[in-house]
Amino acid sequence: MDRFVCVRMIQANAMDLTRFQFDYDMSFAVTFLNADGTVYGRYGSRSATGDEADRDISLAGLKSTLEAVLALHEDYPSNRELLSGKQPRPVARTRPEQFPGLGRYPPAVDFAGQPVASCLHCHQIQEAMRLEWRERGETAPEKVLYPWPMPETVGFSMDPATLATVDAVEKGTAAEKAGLRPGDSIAEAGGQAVVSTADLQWVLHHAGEAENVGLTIQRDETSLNLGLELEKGWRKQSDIAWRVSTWDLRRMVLGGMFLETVGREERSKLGIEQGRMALRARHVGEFGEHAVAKSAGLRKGDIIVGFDGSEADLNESALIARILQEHQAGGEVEVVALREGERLEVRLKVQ
Amino acid sequence: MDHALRNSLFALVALAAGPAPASGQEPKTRVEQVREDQAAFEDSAEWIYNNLEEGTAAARSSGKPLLVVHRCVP
Repeated sequence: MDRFVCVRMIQANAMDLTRFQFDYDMSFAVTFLNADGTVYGRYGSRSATGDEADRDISLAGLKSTLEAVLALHEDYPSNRELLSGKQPRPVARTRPEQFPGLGRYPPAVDFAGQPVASCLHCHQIQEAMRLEWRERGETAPEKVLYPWPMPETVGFSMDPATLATVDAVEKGTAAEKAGLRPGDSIAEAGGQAVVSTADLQWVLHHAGEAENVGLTIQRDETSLNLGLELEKGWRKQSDIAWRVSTWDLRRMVLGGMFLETVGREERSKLGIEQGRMALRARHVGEFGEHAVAKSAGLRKGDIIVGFDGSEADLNESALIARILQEHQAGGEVEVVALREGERLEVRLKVQ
Repeated sequence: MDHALRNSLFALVALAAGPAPASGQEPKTRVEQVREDQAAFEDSAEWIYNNLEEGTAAARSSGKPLLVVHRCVP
């Protein structure tokens, strides 16, 4: 650690968005830079605390990343080309406070007075990006709805204890078709040096609607080039349920419900056919705009079997995205639920 | 893994969340969590606390790379 200058930022107030571009839903994110602003890499993926703290990150993995970053720093600037794709992209708003609704925050946390109320959180940037599209009455692009896709989105997972080693590959996915195998070490993606899972997410985040992403992998002693074919709609496989900013999406289109998919066995007991919608209301909001479902008569534990005229077996992430893309604020959707064997039909306001 | 490095990395990742309260203890308020984090890092020899300009200047003068952690404390 003493080979780095370590800076701990605990606020997004006045964050330079032209410089710091990472998954703003995370509560822990690391950016490695040269003093001239060149980004060497990013670290931090999905989990950071709680029971799932070691699901995507680990001390061993971070140590590997630190070593890889030091090697990149050693070679800099002769490796500029390898780093070029990792550099921040142009953004319309250069500070979070420029987004509607975030202008009320001071330029720094008020430690002496109100440190919590004055703190602009990173996830608020993510929420503001989506809300901006919503309030314009426009449909947010998939890149905004499904930001920073995890590798699972395209069919593989990473071993968090390593720099960038593939842990598992799912059958029938883009990863398997590309020829990726467990144990492969990903050295480059999209022509960029990879020092973490977050670096892979960066490549996927900026990938097109349909694109072939080149991967350079190390398998045993051999270096191989593979092509990861992303087909139209690939981002829709993203799971956004874990994201803090998804709470605001639940307010918009689910009336404040947090839905989880009902398992196969329970479906059978409930008499719900496989392939049909079965989403349990794990939580129903109680206050303000998050209490729309509650006000409509829905309760925690209700099983949602129909939403907006569809009984298709969607998970919560896919349902949220579908409703967001098809309904603007002010509309209504019909919801069908099961409660103790009874069938309920209610209408929910979309916000 | 080297013990000192492990401690440093652990502080980097975990300290902000604070230790879980012992049984019967009130959980820390969000303000207390911020203050605890500030106390742990502000006077640290290893960390520059919440000051990117100072960090960038230090990286420039030392020739070391910057490691910038964004950590949501409260």
